[in-house]
Amino acid sequence: MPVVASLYREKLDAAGIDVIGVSQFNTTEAATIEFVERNQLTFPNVYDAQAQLAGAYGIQGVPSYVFIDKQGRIAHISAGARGVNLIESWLDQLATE
Amino acid sequence: MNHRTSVTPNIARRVNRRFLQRLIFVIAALALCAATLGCGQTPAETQAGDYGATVEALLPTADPTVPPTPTLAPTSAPPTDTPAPTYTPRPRPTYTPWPTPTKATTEDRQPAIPFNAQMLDGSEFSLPDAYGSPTLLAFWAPW
Repeated sequence: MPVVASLYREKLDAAGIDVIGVSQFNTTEAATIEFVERNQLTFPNVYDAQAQLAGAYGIQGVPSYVFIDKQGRIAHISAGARGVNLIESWLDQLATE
Repeated sequence: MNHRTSVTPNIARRVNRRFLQRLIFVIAALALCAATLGCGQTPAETQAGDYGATVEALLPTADPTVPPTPTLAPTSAPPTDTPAPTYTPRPRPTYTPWPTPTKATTEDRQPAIPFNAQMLDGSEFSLPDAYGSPTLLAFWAPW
């Protein structure tokens, strides 16, 4: 997640790309807030206590990334830790579509 | 007188000493010969003499009433008209590389599930309101 945070601060925020962090999976809201402050996650985060979003998108584990294009369609779902290059590549493509 | 009386015992001592030396030498020679020759038998002769009769007694004797055990005759050669099996190598499977992952076309994309959520900072987020710009949903956990 720190990879996404640094990418958001350096590029995504200025490019107008929305990043929504979804915290869940056997944690508490207090732990989520503490993690957000400690790692300086400047993008918006939501605490999905009942894992409703994860269930709706079929997320099985973390970290997972859902790339949504400008038309509100799922372009790609990536499960597992990924490098910044893959995230940046997908967002660049979606931004140019 | 003194001279004679002094010489005679010396001669007698010398004679006795030589006699004793020769006697010891002879005895030693006889003992050596006896030890070398032993009982007049070689070790092989000793084993044969001690165990030969026992070994012969344990060996089966030929009984004229029992027919001799038939010996195995060599098997007949296989018929020459049967063709010998030939080795045909199996064809090696062709290697097909995995297809290069390509990004799905925009027509194949499924609509994202719209949702509204309250952020940790108290703000509201609506996915339909974010249409028009790419959105990344990052699912994570603080561990």
